[in-house]
Amino acid sequence: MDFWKRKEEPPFPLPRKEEPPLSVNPVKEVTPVSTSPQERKFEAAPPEASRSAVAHIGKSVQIKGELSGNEDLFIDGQVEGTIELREHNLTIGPHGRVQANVNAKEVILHGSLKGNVRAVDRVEIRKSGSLIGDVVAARVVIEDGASIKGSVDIQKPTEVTGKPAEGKKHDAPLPIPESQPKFAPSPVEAKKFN
Amino acid sequence: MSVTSGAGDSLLGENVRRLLRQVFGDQAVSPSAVATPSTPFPRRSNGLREFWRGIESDPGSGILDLGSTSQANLSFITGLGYKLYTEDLFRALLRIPIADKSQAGLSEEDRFFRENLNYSDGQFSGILCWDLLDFLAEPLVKPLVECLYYFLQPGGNLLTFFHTGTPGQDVPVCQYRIRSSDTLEVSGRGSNKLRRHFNNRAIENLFRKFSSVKFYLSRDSLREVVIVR
Repeated sequence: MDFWKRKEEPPFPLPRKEEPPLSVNPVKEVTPVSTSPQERKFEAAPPEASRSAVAHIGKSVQIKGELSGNEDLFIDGQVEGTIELREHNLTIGPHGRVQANVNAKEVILHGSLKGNVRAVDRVEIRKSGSLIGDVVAARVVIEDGASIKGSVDIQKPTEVTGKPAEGKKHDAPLPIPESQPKFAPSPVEAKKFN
Repeated sequence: MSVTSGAGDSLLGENVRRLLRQVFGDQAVSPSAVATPSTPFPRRSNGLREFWRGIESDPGSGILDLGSTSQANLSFITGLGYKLYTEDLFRALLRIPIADKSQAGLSEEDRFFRENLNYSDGQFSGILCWDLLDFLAEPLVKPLVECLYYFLQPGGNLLTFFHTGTPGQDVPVCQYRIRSSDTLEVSGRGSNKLRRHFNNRAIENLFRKFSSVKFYLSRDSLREVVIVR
């Protein structure tokens, strides 16, 4: 019978070396948590990068003169002069008030722009946007409620050169290549009544 | 279980009226006075078809749209190869103070045209006037027609619409979007009072300088007129 008694477990189990009590060693608890900050850093990286890729002119900023650059630009303040972003995009925010001739790859307008616009790609005027001036672009998108006062000339990207559009009220209209296709369903001369 | 919302409706109505006043100025009437098309509807337009037929296919020539800007008109007109010029004259008109509108003197009139219609002679092969003339103050009508005459190339077309109502009647102010060469999409922008009634003789007299005036009757209370310089 003593033999069977020996095989019984001791009344107080010995503590295992591999599993110390949690309260004893807090450092080991931190170790698995330490991986999560790395993930957070990874998630935070893209907005940081995109913010740095777009130059930002805030609401309270006023600029007069020539603006040029090789990065995208967001304007929410007031700019007067010229804006040259040949290969990059210009966004005028809802508070943006720009009085300038613009040359960019793409122009998105939420605020107001007074001046001529030449875009290699497209000009997008959102419903809160207003444009007074002439537009030359490959594509023009106008949301309902947006206002345009001026001319719109759609040209292929190869035809849109570096110069900003010239206004009807400021300068002579831009020359348009004669090879531009025309739609003439059935040309009928207007009848004249005497 | 029904819920009565009289207070809510009146509040909503007041908000709509305030919005209309902001958009169309003090001359906008209450929305209950006239039914404006709440949803856009298609409308066949023989006048528009003739307008496009009569325009010379001159490369790079311009079309002047005196209505409010829309993506549909922009896409259609530039798709045909024309350069589009937009001037929302109705909106510009509402910016003039009411006192000036009722007795727009010469100086006010000059200022209006200088600010809103500063184009050269023969610049356009077509002008889309829509129903603007029905809402213009009397002193502005003849000068505007004069301007349009000079802006058009010889042989150029002008498309106008005239409502058949009586002066002072509330009529819906619409935005006309071109869907195809003979179809419009009409959507309401509010309402306004007709300034005058143009009968056919009055229209012919108004455009006496032009070489031809063609009327296109429609089932609704809108006459379409294509005028050729």
